[in-house]
Amino acid sequence: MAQHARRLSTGIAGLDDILHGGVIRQTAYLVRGGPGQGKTTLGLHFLSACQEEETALFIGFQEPEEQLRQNAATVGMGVERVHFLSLAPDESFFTEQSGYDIFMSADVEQAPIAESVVAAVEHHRPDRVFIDSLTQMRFISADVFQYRKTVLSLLHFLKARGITVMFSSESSDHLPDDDLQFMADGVLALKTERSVSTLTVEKFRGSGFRRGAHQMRIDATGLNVFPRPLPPLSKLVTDSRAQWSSGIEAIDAMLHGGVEAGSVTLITGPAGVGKSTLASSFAAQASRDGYRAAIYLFEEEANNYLRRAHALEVGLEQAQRDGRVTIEQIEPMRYLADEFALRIRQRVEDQHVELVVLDSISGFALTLDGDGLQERLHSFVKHLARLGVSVILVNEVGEMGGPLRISETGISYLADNVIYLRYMEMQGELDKVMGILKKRLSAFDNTCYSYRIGPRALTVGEPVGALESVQHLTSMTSGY
Amino acid sequence: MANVILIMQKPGNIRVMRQALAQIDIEAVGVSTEAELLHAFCVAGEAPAMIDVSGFGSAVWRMCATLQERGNPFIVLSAPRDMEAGSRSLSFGATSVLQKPVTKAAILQLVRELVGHHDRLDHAHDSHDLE
Repeated sequence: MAQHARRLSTGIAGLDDILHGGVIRQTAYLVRGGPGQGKTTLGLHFLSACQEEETALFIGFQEPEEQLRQNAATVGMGVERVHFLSLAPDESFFTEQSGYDIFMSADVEQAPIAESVVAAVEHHRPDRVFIDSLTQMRFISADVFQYRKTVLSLLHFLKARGITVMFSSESSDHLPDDDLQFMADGVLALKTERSVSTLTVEKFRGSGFRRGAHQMRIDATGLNVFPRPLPPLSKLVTDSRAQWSSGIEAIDAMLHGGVEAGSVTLITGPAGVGKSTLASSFAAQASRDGYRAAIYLFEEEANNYLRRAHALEVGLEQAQRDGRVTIEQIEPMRYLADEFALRIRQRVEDQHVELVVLDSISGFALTLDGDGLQERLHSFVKHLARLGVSVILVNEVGEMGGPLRISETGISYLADNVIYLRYMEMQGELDKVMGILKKRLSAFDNTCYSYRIGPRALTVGEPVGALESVQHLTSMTSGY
Repeated sequence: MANVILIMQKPGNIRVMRQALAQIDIEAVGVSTEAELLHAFCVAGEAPAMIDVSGFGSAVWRMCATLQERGNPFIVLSAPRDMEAGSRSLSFGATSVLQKPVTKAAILQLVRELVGHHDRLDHAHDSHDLE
């Protein structure tokens, strides 16, 4: 309780989560980043989050008040309790050629700015202040020492009046802001790399926080931050059931009963070999057993997926009607990986989902724009697994034949169970084989079996041999 | 009556200098052409002048000569790249040549002294006339 009383919401739920409840009262935070990263938007969120009895003050050096109000209104932020002190030059500075060169800027500008800030603070008595940006103060200071002294003095002035402060800086290689980082009680860095924007807490005095680069997005609702899923250190729940069945007796037998609850299963193989069908069989059986499953489709259209499942009598449609299986088609270009992970986590918690199918890993990778797949998938999958949720990852490998490769993205270590499906040419005919490559929690049948998909079901056929012999066979004969 | 004549091309320079002088209760009249300068003599008489040589071209020397002829003491301000012109102004009787940007406190001190000296001279002239 006392801990929360010390906190102020930043106005961004995800950021509050990362900061373990918000910023600490009467401290000063630096928001740093290049142009267009969302510093001003973050500041507006912070100010507009002030409570009924609070007031806030925006001190801006760049934009006129009208424009700032407009920006806030565009993303639906209420700034009724926010006062604006715009120190931006008006148009007369240009039209009346008000530029000068007989004095240093520091000699002319500093005093009136200080007077305006003091007057605004004394008049409005704000609880929150956002200064956008303190880089501007650097240009009107005589030297670095004067600048640091001015900023420190300004921050002391504000904090001494019980104000919680956020201030921005336009950081770049040419204009470092290390001095501001030292002066701030906390540092929030906004960055965009390979078209993915992130927020990183670089410093947060007096509190723990969630480390790492958290993905964020600025959209019609303002700035949204998606806390990076951090797996709990150990399992939080006791598994309520022992194993998930595939609903196909022969496959369950290969798995010595099924895959364990809370485990991660990788179903891997080339295109068209039946990975999605097998994954959907686990989901459908889960629903028949009275549990909830969620399937996320990154590539295939949901209609086609259901039609195929229907043809093979997997039983997904009924499960979907019963509300025990949800099938969601995901457009990867619309989501950030952490945003997607948060969405799934919420569904798991709200709807008590116990089995999640991610179809497929390469679709999920698109949300990352090719960056950090292993890291993000690790966080995402381990988080779910430690909540007791079982995860099935559908993974496509490029090779149609040749030596067996579990994954081309280095994520096989995540899996407790690996089921491989592949093509094999035998006696002039193309056949499909499957086998279990790994099962951490129990023994398994390491024999490969041929199987067929259709016309009415996935049916497992005769044993083909041990993995080694199949590998040899496929590598010798592969033409695919 | 203005205490100082500011001869400057940039309106921004006149603005900030007037603001600075106002802080020490010195009133200034700003001009940016020869015609305006002649008019300024009507309101400022032999008041000290401050002339920023930047941007005037050769007209600046005619204005310096006018100030010298009329007995208005004057300080010259010049850009670092224009120091030669600044030095030339000494031959027209400039009391000081300062390189821009100048420190506000220093220039105000200089103007205060110049205005004070001018006032004392005026006072002395008045007393002499009375005698």
